[in-house]
Amino acid sequence: MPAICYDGLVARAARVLVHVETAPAEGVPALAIRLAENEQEIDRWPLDSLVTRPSRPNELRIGSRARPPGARLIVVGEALVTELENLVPHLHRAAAKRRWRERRVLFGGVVALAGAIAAFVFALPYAVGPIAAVIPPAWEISTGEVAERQLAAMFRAGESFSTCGSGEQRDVAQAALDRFGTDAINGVDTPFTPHILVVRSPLENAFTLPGGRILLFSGLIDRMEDRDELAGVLAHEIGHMVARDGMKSVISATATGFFTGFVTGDLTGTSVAGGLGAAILRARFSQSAEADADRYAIAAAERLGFDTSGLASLLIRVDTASTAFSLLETHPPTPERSLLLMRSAGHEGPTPIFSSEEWQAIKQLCGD
Amino acid sequence: MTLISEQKLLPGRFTAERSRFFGILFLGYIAMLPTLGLYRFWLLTRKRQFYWMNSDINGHPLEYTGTPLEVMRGFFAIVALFLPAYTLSIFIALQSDLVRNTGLGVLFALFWYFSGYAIYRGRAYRLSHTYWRGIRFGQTGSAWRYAARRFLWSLLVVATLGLAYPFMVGDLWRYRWSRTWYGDRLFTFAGGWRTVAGPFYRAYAGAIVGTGVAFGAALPFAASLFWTASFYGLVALFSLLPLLLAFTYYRAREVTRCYSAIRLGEATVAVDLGARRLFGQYFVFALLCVGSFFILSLSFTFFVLNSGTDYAFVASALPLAIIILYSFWMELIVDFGFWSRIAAGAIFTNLDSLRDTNHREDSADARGEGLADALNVGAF
Repeated sequence: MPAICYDGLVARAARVLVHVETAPAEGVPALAIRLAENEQEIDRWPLDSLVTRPSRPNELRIGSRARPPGARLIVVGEALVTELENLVPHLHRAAAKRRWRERRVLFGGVVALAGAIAAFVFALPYAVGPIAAVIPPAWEISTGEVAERQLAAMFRAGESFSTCGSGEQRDVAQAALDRFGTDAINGVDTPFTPHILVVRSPLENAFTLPGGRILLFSGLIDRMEDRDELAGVLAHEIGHMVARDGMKSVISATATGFFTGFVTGDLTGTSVAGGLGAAILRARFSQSAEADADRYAIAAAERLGFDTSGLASLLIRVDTASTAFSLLETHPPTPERSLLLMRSAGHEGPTPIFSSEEWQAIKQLCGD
Repeated sequence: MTLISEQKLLPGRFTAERSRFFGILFLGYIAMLPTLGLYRFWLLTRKRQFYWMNSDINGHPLEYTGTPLEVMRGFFAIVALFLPAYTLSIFIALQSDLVRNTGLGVLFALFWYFSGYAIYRGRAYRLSHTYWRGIRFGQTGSAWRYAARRFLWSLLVVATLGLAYPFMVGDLWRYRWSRTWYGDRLFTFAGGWRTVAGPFYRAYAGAIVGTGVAFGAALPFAASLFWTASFYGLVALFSLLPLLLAFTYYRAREVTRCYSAIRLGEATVAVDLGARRLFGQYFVFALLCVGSFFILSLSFTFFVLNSGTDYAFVASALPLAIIILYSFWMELIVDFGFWSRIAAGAIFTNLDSLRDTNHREDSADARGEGLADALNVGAF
C-alpha cells in the first residue's frame, strides 16, 4: 500500500509502498518499505518494533523503536489505515501500553495528592500549635502589625487603628480597657500584653491580631446591655491572644495557600503575605480553640469578679441579626458553649469590673 | 526569475476546526476536577499534539513528541526548588517595612529573572520535541544568559517608560532565533528593532491619545460621582477599548513582521496576522467572559439564597470559577484564533532547499517546562 516515509536522518519525504510480511523467508516479521518509483526495497521495520503516533483523522503515523526517533511511515486514507490495522496484529499495542503507563502514573499521582491533602487537612490543626510555639514573640508582634496595616486599609482607617472618641472620655475608657487587659493576664504565662482598641465600625465583632492587639468594633458595643458582656468578650479575646490563635490562623492560611498553589500549579499567586488582613478577617478558630478561650474567660471571671453569662446572652442576641463577618460567623454560639458559659458564670465581686463612669465612657466612645 | 520563485511559493494550512479543539479543551477541563488538577499536564500535551499535527507545511504536518510525564516531572522538580523560596518570602513579608520592601523587591526581581529562564528552557523543550519531515528542531544557547539579557532590557524599558521596548523585542527575537535549529541548520533572524519600531510607537501614541480622550469623556460625569476612585474607574473603562485596539494592532504587527523575518538558509516564511482579526478574537473573548461571569454570579447568588450555603465558601469558590472560565475562553477563542491564523496564513518559499537537512543530536529536559508552569509563563 502507498505511504510516505521519513527516515529520520534527512529531511526528505519518500513516496513508498509498504508490504506487510508476517512470515518472510528470512528474518523477522516486518514491514518491507519499497520506493514507489522503482520498487527498490529501502528498509524493513520489524513488526514488533512498531509504535503508532498521534495522528490526524483518517491518517496513521507509525514510528519504529529500531529506527531514529523521527523516522515515520504515514498512511493516508480510511481504507488504507483499516487495511494496515488488519494486516498488522497489535499495531496499537505499544501506544496503548504507554497510555496505560501514563494513566497509572496519573492515578497514582491523584491518590498520592488526595492522601497528601487529607493528611494536610487532618494534621494542620495539630501542627499549627507546635509551629506557633517556636515562633519568637517579636516576630508575632510584627506579623500583627502587618496584619493591622492591611486591615486598617480595608476599613479605610489609615495606617493603623486608633480608639475613637476624644478628650477625657477617651482617656477614661482607654485606661479602663488597659487595666482590664493587665488584670486579665495577671499570673498568666504569656509574652504579650493586650492592647484593646475600640474601632468605629458597624461590624458586630471583635478580633484578636497576632501579638496582642484586640480590635473591638463599636457595632458590638452598641449591642451590649451591661458591662459583664464587655468583660466577657474581652476576656474571651485575651484567651485567644494567650493561646496565640491569631498566629496559628496566619500559619494555617499560609500553609493552605502554598498547598493550593501546589495543586493548581500556580505558585506565584499563593503568597499569603499580601492577604494577612483578609485571612484574619475570615479566620474561624476551631471549636476547641473557642472552648479554650471561653474557659480562659471563665477563669478570668472568677479571678476578677464578673459574670460570663453576659457573654452567652450577647452571643444569642447577635445571633438574630447575622451579617457578614459578624460575631456569629466567627464565634458560632453552640448550645455547649452557652451552657458552659452560663453554668460556670463567675460572680460579681464587691466592686464592679468597670465603674459606671468607665462603662458609660466606653459605651459612648464612638457615639455620634 | 520571478517565475521560478513564484512556483516555489507554498501556503501553509491549518487542518482542524475550532469545534474539535473545543472537544479536547472541554473534556480536559472536566478531567481536571477528579484528578485534582494533575490532568493539566495531559491536557497540555493533547493541546500541543492538536496544534502541531494540524499545522501543515507543504503537505507535512509538525509532530509533537513531548509527554505529560516529562512535563509533570519538571513541575515537581521545580516545586522542590520553590519551597524554600516560598518560606523565605513569608518570613520577609513579616519583617519591618524597610526589610520587607527590599526583600520582596529582591524576590520579585529573582522571580522576573527566573521567568526569562523558564521561557527559554520551555522553548528549548518544545523545539526539541517538534519534528517536521522526520527531523527535529532544537535550541542552543544559555537560558541564564537569555534571562539576564531579558532582565536588563526590561530594566531599561521601565526606565524609558516603555520607549526602549522595540530594542528589547528586536534583540530577544534575534537571540532566540539565531540559536534555533532545524536538524543541523541554524535559523537566522533578519529583523531588528526597526522591524517593530513603527508599529510600536504608533500604538504607544495611540494608547496615550486614547487614554486622554477617555479622561475627557469621563470628566462630565466627575461631578455626579461620589468617590474619586469611581472617576478613575470610569476612565479605565473608557480607555479599555483604545488600549485593546493599540495592543492588538501592535501584537499583530509584531507577530507578522518578526515571524516574516525568520530565515532558514534560503527558505523564508511570510506570516500575516491581521490586526482586525486579532481584535475581533479579543472582542468575542471579552463578550463571552462578561456573559459567562454574569450567568455565573447569578447562579451563585441563586444557589446561596436557596441552599443557605456558607457565604465564605462561595466567596472563595467564585474567583476560582472566574479564573477557570477566563482561561477556557482565552484558550478557545484567542489562542486558537492566533495559532490557526498564523499556520494557515503563512507562505513559505524555497522549502526545497531543506531537503538535505540532516538530523542533529541534542536534547532538552523538561525542567524548564516545569518552571514555566510554576511561574505561569507557559506558552502554547
